[in-house]
Amino acid sequence: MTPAGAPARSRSVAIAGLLAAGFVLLALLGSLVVPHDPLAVDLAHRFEAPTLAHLLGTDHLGRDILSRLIAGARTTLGSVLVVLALVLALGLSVGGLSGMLGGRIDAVLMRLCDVFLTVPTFVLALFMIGALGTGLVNVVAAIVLSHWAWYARIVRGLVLELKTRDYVLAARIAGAPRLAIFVEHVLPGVVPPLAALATLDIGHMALHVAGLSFLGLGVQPPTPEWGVMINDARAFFWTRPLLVIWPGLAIALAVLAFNRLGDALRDRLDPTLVAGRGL
Amino acid sequence: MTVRTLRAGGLAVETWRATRRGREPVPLVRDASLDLRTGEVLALVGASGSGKSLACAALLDTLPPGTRRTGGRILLDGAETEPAALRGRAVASVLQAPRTAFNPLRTIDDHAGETLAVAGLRGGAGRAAMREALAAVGLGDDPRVPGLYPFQMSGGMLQRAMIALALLSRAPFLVADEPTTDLDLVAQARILDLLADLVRERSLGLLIVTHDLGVVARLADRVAVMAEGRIVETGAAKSIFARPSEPATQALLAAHQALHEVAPDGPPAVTDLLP
Repeated sequence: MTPAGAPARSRSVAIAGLLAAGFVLLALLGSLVVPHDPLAVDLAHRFEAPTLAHLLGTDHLGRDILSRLIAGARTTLGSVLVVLALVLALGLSVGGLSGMLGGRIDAVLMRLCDVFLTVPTFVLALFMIGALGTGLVNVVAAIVLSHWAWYARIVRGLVLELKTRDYVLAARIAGAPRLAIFVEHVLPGVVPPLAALATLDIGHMALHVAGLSFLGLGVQPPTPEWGVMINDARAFFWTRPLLVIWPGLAIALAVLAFNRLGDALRDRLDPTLVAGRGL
Repeated sequence: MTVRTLRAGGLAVETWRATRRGREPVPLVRDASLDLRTGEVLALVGASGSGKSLACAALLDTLPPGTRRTGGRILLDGAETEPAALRGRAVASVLQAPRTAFNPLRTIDDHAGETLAVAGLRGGAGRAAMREALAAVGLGDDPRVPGLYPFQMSGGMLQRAMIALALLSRAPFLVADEPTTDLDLVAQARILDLLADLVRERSLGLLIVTHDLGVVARLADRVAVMAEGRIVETGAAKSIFARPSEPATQALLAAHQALHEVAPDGPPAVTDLLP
């Protein structure tokens, strides 16, 4: 039963997949393929239009924009990867413990989650940066702290549902220890929807990193990062709009690609999961 | 071979309902005692909702959420034992629905690994035990069986595989909660034959939960009849069929006879159920 319009949709997924793979490759191999040093200032060649030497032109300090975009992919996507790894680790362990053990432990952990769920990312980030100073580490910490509770909740819900399966009862009756039951029978049911959700959130978290850096709270200049690049170019928006457009385009494409990929994954795995998240 | 015993004394299970004055306990199983010996089949019979399955779950402390065990003690060879310690070591189980009792993402081999880990068998010894157990339940001829996923097998095959897993644990006692209910009649008869053979050959102590008196007549040495959460009558299978003293037992027998139209003096056989 292929719904109408499926070919167009699968084409968009293919494009999104290619784009996402491209971004990941750039983030991984960026330092090998950059045409110029992304930090090299060359005041003689400021604001150059795109040429063969500088495919996307140069910025207000004469730095090669393409090189900075490629290096920025590493900063942005790399920090998103760290955020996701931490969020998944926290969410899986807290949600898994909560769901498997139940009772008081569950109640305490879920109230803790409730507290974190009430804090918006930007408010928490502003608070942390006010208290601890600006920097990428604090931004990453703020995003992790404001997102892990969603994952813990979802993991717990999945665990609770999977726990009622007969084969979990069968494993319990067979004397299997709880950790083995979790790893063998519960985790395989938790991972696929979680992977879909995480992919869907890559774009969302990249926006947070770039957004906070744009505000001057995260990555500090001269480190190449997409949000920082937009902030740098802000002053020249009316005269040199391309300086804003290039990093903006990179952010938009990355977010769209990962979103589309996550959407497709979610549709394949569990169409009901994220619908209840109400974001 | 020495006879081992498993005795559950005074098992009690209750749930609760909310009233205006708070929670009020509702007893589901009251003072149920079961006595099991190796080499013997004890059938626990009773109408639906009489507490048979809950009594078995209380034996292993695997009660469903919303219920709790409020009394009773378990004696293994005369020594008091924690129910959780019995699982997979002293008592293996066969569940009612083989289709859902296996993880759809795991092969038979994976499931066996779990049982073997509890039994402490690894590597070659584990694989040998697995081959032997599969052969014992009649799945030994096809070398593909260990690698199959549950959806690639029939209900009867799965139930055999579940019995093989139970054998793999080397537990002296086997609890089978309605092991044939989800199977067709031919598969039912075969599984019952298999269980009877295994009890004889390996001197297992089998507790079989059923509402089918045909199963009882075919397998059981002794019968315990449950009604409304209590065990109302216990005795040798023959005497219970010949002289049911409790109304609950009489009702079960009458219902069975009405259904299968057999003479009231002889126990009905499962073969009567075959078309």
